Amino acid sequence: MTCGDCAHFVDEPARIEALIPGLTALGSARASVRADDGICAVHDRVVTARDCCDRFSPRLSQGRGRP
Amino acid sequence: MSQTRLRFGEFSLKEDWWSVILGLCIVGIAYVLFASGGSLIWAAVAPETWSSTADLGAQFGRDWFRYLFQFLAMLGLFTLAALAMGQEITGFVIGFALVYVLSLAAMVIGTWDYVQSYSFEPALIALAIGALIANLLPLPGRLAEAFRVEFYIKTGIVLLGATLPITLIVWAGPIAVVQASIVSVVTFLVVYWTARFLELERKLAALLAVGGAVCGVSAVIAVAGAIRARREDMSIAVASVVSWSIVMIVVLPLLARAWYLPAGVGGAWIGTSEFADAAGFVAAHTYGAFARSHAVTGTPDQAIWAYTLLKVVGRDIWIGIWAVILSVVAMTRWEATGIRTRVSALDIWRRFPKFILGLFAASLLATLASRSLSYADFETVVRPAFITPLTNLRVWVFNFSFLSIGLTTRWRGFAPASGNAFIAFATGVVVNLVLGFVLSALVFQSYWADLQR
Repeated sequence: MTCGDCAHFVDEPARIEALIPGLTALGSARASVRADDGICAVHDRVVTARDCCDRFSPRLSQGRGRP
Repeated sequence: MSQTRLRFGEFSLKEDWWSVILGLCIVGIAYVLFASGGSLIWAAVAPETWSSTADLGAQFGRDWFRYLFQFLAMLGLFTLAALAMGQEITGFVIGFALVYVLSLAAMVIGTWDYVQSYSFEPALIALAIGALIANLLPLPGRLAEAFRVEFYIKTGIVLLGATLPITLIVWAGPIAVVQASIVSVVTFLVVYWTARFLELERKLAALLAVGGAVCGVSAVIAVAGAIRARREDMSIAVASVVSWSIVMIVVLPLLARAWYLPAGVGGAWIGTSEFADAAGFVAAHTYGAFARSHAVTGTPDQAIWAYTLLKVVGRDIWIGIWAVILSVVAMTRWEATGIRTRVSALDIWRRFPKFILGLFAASLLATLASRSLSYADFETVVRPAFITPLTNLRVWVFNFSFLSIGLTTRWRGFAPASGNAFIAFATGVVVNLVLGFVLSALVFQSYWADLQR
């Protein structure tokens, strides 16, 4: 029931980089500093895979970051 | 989600670990060859200074097979890492070929004696070539798979470790930490309170502040997750950091040269006042070129060493601690987001930039490898056969990064920052510059001016 298992959680690096313009110019979504963070498509916020909220929706596919 | 999957993901999918693996592999190969009486120099070919096209033609006529071997070896190593990190491989391979060829072009231009007389470093030329192409020509999006600024710079930093004595890190590291911490804390508070005074939200204020005070985009990424920032705020902070970092690549070396700061002092100032690792290395290389052409005193190595100590050892290393502190503040004192969160001390390790471990490991290995040699033996035996090949390869990998900065900096795509966000960040830039100068050129000048092996 955490964000890491939620359908709204985007943690695929390529998608994160596409969602944050300019991120790859001097940064990277594949960096250790990102830890297990992703972007919540519902709250439009950066959250960690260990967070949770009332809008949890189980991920149907095995692939992560594909809501 | 299982913890096992997370731990494996951290190791196999993060570029920090791959930069450590690739960097230490190359250092290890260089050492094995050196210890057995050989050298990696054959594969670490790089353009030499030339004055006519006949010179240049003779160089490539003689060395073309070495360049081909080097390209294939680097392509293999970086493609292996890209494959493990789940990147699209066809795009990566084609993109990497473009990165290699354009980096070679930048190095050829930068080694022309006419260009060298103006202290134009290949670093700056690579950046300019990349920026021109990205903003004027339509490049297929899939090639961007290989425009990995951070991955290349981290790998280069690990290689740099082999040329940075561990004794120097132990001697100057604490000073770097003190200097960087003073600047980081003051700049953070100035940007944060300026932003709050201008009525920006707390989380945007915090992102702008860490971007200016700690380590640029990496700090924004770490803290955005720690405080559960809005995506839009993160985009604004990233755009602010990238824009000012690019400006500082030009401003810092020129200001330092205008005051004739010694190479080590200039490098320390750049390390204190630049925002992003890769951008700072462009500036530090440029300042090193001023030293090479005797426009300032000191050596190119001193500029790079001082920069690395300040930026990597003094600032980058603390990113996890900043993230955890701000996470606690956000959770206990700032507005609720509707997201239930937990803070763990383990986050300090989770967000730790692991490539720094590679820098320390490479430095330790190289120092141990030459510990029993006199300075004269080091210069005549170790430097040509072990240090020079690693330096050449580091220059290559850094140029991949500098070129990629240009190739990924498309001004049109950046998030438009509000006037207030711009003012808040700009205030921090001014404070950062002034304080960085005072600490580097006045307070700790004696440490940075005489850095030596």
